[in-house]
Amino acid sequence: MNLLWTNFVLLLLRSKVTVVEKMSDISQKVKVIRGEGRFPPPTVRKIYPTKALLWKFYFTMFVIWAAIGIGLIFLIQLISYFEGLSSSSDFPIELLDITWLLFWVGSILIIPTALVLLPLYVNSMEYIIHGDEVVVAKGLINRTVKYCPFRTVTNISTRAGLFDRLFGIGCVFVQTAGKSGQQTSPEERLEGLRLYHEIRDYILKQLRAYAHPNKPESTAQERVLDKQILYQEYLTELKEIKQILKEKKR
Amino acid sequence: MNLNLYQKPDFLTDYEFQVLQRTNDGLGIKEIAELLGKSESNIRKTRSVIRKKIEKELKKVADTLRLDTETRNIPKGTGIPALLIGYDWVNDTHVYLILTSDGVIAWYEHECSDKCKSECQLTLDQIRRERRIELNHKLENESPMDQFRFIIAKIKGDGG
Repeated sequence: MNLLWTNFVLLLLRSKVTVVEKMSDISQKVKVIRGEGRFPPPTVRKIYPTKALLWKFYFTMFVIWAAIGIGLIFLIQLISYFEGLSSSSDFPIELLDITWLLFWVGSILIIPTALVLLPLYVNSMEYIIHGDEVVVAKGLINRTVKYCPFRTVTNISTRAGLFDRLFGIGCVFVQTAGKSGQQTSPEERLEGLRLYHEIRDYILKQLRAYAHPNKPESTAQERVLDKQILYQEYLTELKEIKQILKEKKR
Repeated sequence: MNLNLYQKPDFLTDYEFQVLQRTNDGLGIKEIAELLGKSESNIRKTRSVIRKKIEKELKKVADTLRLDTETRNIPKGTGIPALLIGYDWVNDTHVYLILTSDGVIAWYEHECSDKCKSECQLTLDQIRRERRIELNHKLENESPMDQFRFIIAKIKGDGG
């Protein structure tokens, strides 16, 4: 049992060392001045989606277009093959040609429009974190501004789908109590964020500050002290393990 | 680009460092070309490469420290190759990445306490020396945060 615990602690330390080693590679070239004082007080933050969201929309559009095109080609080939096999058939072959023509006409009309409008849509997206609410504004023709007060927030989660991860972005979902009507999706969706984990933590910090307004914000010094306490606990634990192993050896 | 590095950064070649040093000495493209025995277009291209390499290095550090350098409401250091301004969402503060001879300095905007004042002052003095920025008498007695703001304003004003 003690051996298992020792191995577990060593594994933990090894994983910490790996992280420390990676950071030490950076620290050779980078000098970080965080200071021991307070950071400036939080202000109203406006967050905008990154350009990668636009590329993700373009890529998704291309994938859908290609899937429809390939599907149509396959369908036309399949029908033509079966038509060829069957001598008596009433299937109007012209329908396939019309379908194929409609596909290309649709592509010519929709794709350039999307190429022009998508950047404007992405530029119109704005997320604002106030002291007591999250505001999501988006929309080109119908501009929608959703206010999500902190007092109604129940869950905050992050998600990065397949295409999101391809472009290095993710979403932060802010869910509130009391969904309206037929709504089943999260109340607020902050999409196209590269640092979605950090922004989630930022919103959580604002939520906690809202929930406990009298609690002083921890300074960099307090954070350093917390780490020192943690490392002290690690050391105490290791010393105890060493003692137990020594006694066992006797 | 007033960047007086006394040590060659790893990501620059010897030739690029020479061009950078000559540029910081105040020499024009023609003079540098004559001095190094290269064409003017070559010098122009090399300077452009230096700018891109410095930007890339600063961006790499920003990505490692998980800084937001794309949010529109961050004052951009556009055209200032040796300074990149990012935002740390976790600490809710601006972070300034400045290239120096000892590597990149990541300065988190903060009010200095007595514990960090001396280290912050040393770092500021190093940045001032390398950028050839002089503080007036009044600012020398001000807090490191005020001095830093002045230095950043100077760096932006000089275009690096």
